[in-house]
Amino acid sequence: MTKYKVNINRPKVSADEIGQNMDFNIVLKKYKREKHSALKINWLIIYIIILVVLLAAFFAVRVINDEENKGKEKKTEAGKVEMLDFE
Amino acid sequence: MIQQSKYHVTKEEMDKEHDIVEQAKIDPSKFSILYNKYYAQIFRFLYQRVNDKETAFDFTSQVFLKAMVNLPKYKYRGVPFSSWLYRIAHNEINLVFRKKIVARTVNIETEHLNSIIEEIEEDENGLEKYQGILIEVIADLPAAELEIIEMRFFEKRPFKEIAEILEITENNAKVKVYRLLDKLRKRITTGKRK
Repeated sequence: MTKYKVNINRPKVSADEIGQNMDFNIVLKKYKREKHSALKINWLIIYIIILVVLLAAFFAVRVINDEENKGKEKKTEAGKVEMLDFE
Repeated sequence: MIQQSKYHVTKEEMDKEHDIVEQAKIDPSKFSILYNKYYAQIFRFLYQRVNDKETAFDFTSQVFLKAMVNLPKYKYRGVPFSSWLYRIAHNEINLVFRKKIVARTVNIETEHLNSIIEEIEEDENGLEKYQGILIEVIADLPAAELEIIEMRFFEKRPFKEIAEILEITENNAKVKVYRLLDKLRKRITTGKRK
C-alpha cells in the first residue's frame, strides 16, 4: 500500500477538451463579483469606522460638559461658604 | 540528459508578457491573453496531481481567479509569468491536500521513468529491472520530494523554474534533486521502499 493513489499511463486530456473548458468570461464574471463584494466590505468597514468616531466624539463632548458643570457647582458651593464666613 | 523545457520562454517573450500584465492591471479583460496562453499548462500541472479532470478544471479556474485578484501585487523578476501562476497553483493544490478535500494522486508515465533511471543507473536494462520498485518508491516519497520529482522528471522543468515555483534558490533546487536521486538510487538498488 503506497501513500498516494497511483495511475500508470493514464489517458491524456486532449487539447480540444481543454479548449472547451477554458471560457475566460466565466472567470472574468467571478472576478467582477469578487471585486464588487470586496468593495462592499470596504465601504462597510468605512461606515463602521465613521460611526465609531462619531460615537467617540459624542461621548467625549458629554464628558467634557459634565466636568465643566461639576466645576461650576463646586465654585457656587465655595462662594456660599465664603459669604457665610463674611456674615 | 534532461531536455529543454517545452515551456521555455525567451527574454523578448517575457518582456512582451510583462507589458500585457501591466495592461491587465488596469483593464482585467486584457488578462484573457495570458489566460488563453497558460490555461492548458496550468490545467496539466494540476491534472498531474489529482485523479480526475473535473477537479483539475475547477482548480484551474480557481488559480486564474486568484491570479486576477492578486495581479496588482505581481512584480516582474525576470522569470516567465507562468512561474507566478504555477506558484499560485502549487499553493492552492497543497492547501487542498492539507485540508484533505481532494486526495493526492501520482500519475506516472513509464516513459518518464526512463529519465530518472538514466540519471541513477548506468545499466541499459535499468528500466525493465527497476520500473516496479521505482514506482513504489516514488509513490511513497514525502509530498515535497514527490513534487520535485514530478517537476524535474515528469514535466521536464528547468531548475530555475522549479526554484521559482518552490520559492527557493536555483542551487538549492539542484541540491534537492541530486539528493533525491541519491535517495532513489539507494532505495531501488536495495529494493527498499522506505
